[in-house]
Amino acid sequence: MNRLIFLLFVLISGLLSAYRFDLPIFKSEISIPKKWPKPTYDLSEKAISEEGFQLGRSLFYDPMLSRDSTISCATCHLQYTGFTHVDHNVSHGIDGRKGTRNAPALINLAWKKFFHWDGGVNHIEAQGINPLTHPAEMDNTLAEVIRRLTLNDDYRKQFQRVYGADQITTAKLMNALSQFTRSLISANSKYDQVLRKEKGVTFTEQEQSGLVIFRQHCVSCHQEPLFTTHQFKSNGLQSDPIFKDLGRFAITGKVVDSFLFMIPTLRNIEFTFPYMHDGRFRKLKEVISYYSDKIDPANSHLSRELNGPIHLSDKQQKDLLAFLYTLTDKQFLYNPRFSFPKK
Amino acid sequence: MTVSKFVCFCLVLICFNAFNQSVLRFVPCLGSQAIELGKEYTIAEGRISFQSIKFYVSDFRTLTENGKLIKHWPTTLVNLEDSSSQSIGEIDSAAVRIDFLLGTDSLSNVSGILEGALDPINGMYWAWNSGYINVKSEGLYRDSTGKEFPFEFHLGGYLAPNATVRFLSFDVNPQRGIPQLVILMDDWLTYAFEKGIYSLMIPGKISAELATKVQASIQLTYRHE
Repeated sequence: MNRLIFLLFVLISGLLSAYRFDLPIFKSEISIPKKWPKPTYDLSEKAISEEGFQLGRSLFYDPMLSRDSTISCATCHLQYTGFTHVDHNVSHGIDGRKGTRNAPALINLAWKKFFHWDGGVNHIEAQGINPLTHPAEMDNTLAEVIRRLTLNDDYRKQFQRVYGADQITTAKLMNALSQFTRSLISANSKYDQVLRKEKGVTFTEQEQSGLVIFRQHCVSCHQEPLFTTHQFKSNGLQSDPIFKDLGRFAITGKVVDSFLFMIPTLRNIEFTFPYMHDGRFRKLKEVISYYSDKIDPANSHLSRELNGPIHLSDKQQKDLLAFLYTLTDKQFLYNPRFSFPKK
Repeated sequence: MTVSKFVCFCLVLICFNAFNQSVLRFVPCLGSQAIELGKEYTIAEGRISFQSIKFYVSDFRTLTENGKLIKHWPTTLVNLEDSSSQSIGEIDSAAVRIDFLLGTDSLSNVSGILEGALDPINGMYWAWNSGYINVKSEGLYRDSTGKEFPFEFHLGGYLAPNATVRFLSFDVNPQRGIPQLVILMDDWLTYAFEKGIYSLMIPGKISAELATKVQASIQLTYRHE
């Protein structure tokens, strides 16, 4: 009998969770989570309309934006892996051409001031120009993108609805894309639910231990609740001999910025592998092991936050891993509102 | 419309066109010659031809003697491929001073994607390092031995200490003729070539230095029809 009750319980739990993941999120849910800092970009209905969001979503998933119409933004930013390119250390664009960096996750972008690993982009609306025009990504020209969109009746109507004029411009295109990307808010992981004291949600003993370790060793760079300070730091990784990536230095030209990269968020880190700016670590436990025991203290570029040794035991590393898994937000990863727009 | 009315209309049009010719223009030059794209010119001890010359002019204003604003123009992109873009506008007879920014102001560089002259579709926007190229000049230089040096100067960057926008101000007297702003391209290009610089596509100290050279190469002159 007990076994039957247990099976019934599992079945009902499964159905409930499946139902929950399929719940559509409507406009009203684009809001700033409680106790979060003020976002950099406006998230109000004045800045993000339902029509604008849907237009941005259509553009995000449309390969027509690339030179040969084979690659969309979603090719390298897949929703179910936190809008990054799973299993690729660096992404490949048109004709299989490879870039030099791991595609960043698109999570809580509305709180960022700078974009890309080196922070070269200073505005969310300016970000999209890079993938559209980069020869190793979509390899198109803005003029051609605008031409194709203008020739498309459906897009012309959509732009008309959103902006009140059917002339499609770069500014409107980028604004529409950003209405979608600004809306990609992940704030419903187990971690969030525990902090909100939601009924029946608690950390396991291992997760709680991991949280303590996290707050002791990781939080100075991966500050809650965004799990990043968005600053540029060096974690001491030796430069890849092929990519020879100088990081932030390429933008500022300042020697002190050599090998600095933007601190990524850890939200949904379970699914955003591989890790680091060049995707050199395939597993999260390799990342933890690196920070625990493999940082070269003699590296002159190493950021001060990592000056002292961390040295976590095997158990502590596992506990930390368990905590990091609580940052997975399945409602975000499987939210149909963010997925390919089926017509 | 009667014949006399039609003649009258034509006269008005002719007068309007003549009047319109008094507009201030930017004229990139080599020595005393106005540059035409694709045409070859002598420079230093070599030959030079231009494929592209483009630059931004922002905050262009005419002022009266007591500093009162007469007119302010929006940011414009001067592009030698389109000669009409070289004309800024008519200078009022009461104007005694003009001032403007060569390039784009810092606010334009941090405001996302803008429209019109500032639309990135004009090829004057850096995607990898957000911000505008303030001055662009591309072409081919052949030295006295015939060795070829393709050149590409994209001068931009809005952050201190290497910002490339430059302020210019000139006394003007429309009574002396039609004012024009001449850019002596050989002044700053020769400086770059002598240093062995033929390509510059990033912000930084050298871009800032060259922007100052471009600024110094601009002169106000008058032409007479």
